[in-house]
Amino acid sequence: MKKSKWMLSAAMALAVGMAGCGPQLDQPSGAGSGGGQAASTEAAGNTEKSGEIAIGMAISLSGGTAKYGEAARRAVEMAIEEFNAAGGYNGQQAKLIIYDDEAKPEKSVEIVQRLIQQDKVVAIVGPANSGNAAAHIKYTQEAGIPEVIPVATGTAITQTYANEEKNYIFRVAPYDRGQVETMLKFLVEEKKLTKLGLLHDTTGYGQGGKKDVEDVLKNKYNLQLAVIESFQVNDTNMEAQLLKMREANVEAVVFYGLAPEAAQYLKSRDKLNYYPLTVASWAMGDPTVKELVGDLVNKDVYMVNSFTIDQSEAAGAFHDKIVAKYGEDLFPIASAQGYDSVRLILEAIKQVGTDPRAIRDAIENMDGFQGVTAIKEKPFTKENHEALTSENMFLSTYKDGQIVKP
Amino acid sequence: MLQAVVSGLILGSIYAIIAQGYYITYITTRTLNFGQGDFLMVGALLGLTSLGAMTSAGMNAYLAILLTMLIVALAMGVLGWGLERTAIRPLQHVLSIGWILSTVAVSIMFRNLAMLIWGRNVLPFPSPFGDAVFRFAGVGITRHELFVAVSAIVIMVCLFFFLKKSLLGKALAAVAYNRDAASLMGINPRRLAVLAFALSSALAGIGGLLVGPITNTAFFMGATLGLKAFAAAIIGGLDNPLGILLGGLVLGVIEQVFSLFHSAYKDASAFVLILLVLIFMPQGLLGKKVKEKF
Repeated sequence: MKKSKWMLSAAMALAVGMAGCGPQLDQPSGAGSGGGQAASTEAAGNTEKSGEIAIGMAISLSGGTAKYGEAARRAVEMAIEEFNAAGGYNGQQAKLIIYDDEAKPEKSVEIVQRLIQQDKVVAIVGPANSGNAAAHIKYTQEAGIPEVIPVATGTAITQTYANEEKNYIFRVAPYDRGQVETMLKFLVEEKKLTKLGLLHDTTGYGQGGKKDVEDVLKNKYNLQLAVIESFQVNDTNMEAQLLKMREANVEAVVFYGLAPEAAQYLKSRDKLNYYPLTVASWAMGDPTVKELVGDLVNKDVYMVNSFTIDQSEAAGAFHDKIVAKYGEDLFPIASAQGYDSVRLILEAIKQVGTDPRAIRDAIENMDGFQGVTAIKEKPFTKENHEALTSENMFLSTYKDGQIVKP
Repeated sequence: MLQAVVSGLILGSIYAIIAQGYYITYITTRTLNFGQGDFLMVGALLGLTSLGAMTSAGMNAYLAILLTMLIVALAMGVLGWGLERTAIRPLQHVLSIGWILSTVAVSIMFRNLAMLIWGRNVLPFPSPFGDAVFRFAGVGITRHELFVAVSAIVIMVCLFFFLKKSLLGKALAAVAYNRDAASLMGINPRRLAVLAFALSSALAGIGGLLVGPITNTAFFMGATLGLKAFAAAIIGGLDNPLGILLGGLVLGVIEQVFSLFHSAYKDASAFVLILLVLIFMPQGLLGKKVKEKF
């Protein structure tokens, strides 16, 4: 017995040792650096001091969407610093209170309630995950706190309260349906292609994408997909699906899935030496894809975007600012959308002060807004809470490892 | 079609390597490590870290991968030893099947630990052989995949000679055959049980190194692979190494060929195959038929 106890403690020691050497290992992305802790230090000891405007941010700094969240966080921080440096509002400084939702809906609900009830925020920059948004928007809507979503793309989110008198949910991310419309506009109207194949994952994301693609093709262009193939998360290759595309002679492939599988798709293309024109949702622009497959991104791959570094001078200048401040631009589009999200809130505060309801109205009626993404000068109307519709989303492509306008 | 078969063979040989781990512990102790998949994941991530450290220190790529294999095999061997001592042996009372759950428990702990250490991101695992693709008659195959196929055969041959020809291997076989008689002959079955687990974990670790560049690496990568490997072992027959190789290959090829017709049912096809095999050949394709005498 004595011996087995010794074994147990040895195993424990090993486990602790392994956990201990964690931070030194890897993390090439730097996304996790500080992750959850960032939230607590900034939130610590927060009491509502007069003279400070609390702006909440509930986003994932860990979990599968950590990169989106971290990039958005940096840009939001920068926007708030700029706002404060320019004098704030009536001498009041803005302050960011940020919590990590760990990409979990239940956690998201918890922290949003905390932001509203304890931290008394005047507005919230929303989540990275559609599921999290769906879970918590009820609370922001009921509390009358405006929320601007920088990353989550699920189509239904902004429409949930569209029929209420006042809808408090806004979005600066390209919503799914609009992404599909943009992709198909490119393929059918610009490239005049009619024989399309769809490759989607079997999660809610891919299933939703499939439904949207079929819908838009049928209703807008009276076309049907030539080939529909699916793959599962964690699939190790997509050769079989690609072979079917080749056999059917499709003119282009619409790819609807997340970054790790997008990487497998590109690898399989290379292996089969078959490079169909590929148009994907914005997940293809996730830097993870490039990390995983390197140069394979450069050939005939298009993805929906709202921001590229070369799209305008403002965009380039914004990119340079982020790089100057943080040393890298972790995820350019997420940074840009995060920046525009909080800028909308800050502009509204400049105009009408710190009452959440007034801020909401000001965001809805915002005009003359200069964003860094492809956002319009008047981004929202009462009926439309999407800053990016298929009119101002566009397709971008990789060139020498950089995402650019084609 | 040919491409699908080739890809299937490579996938299958990976399953087979992992499945040999089930075989070794099964014949010696009649227990299995149901967390084999997560041991594989730990091996892959450990390998990624040590390979990264060595290549960034400017070491020759081939030397680095050999050393990494050695390191991973050793580290995983130690983990396997720990597993046997903490999660299997204390639970081996007469008629106890607690080890089934305890191996799963250990594997879940590993998964969470790995998540803490390496994060939740999918990490790229660059193959030391580069990304070049060879083409024969329209079939694309990467150098790394060739390496995997060759390694699978080499490992199988080594294992075969170890088990059939070496004294230690013979001792393992003796324990498997008759534990009591073996201990009367001066063989320590407990030591050999530890050896079996260490060996099986080391195999899982090497399997992880081999699959890493193909599947990419993340803390959750082990679950499906472990299950598929288990399926391969069952299809081929748990007590026949050649059967396991065959089972793995059959499984891999069926999966890939099936997804040519309908990709959504790819995984289902593998498990339908298990049902069929178990119904018609309960001992597996090459398993020994044992007549129970009462």
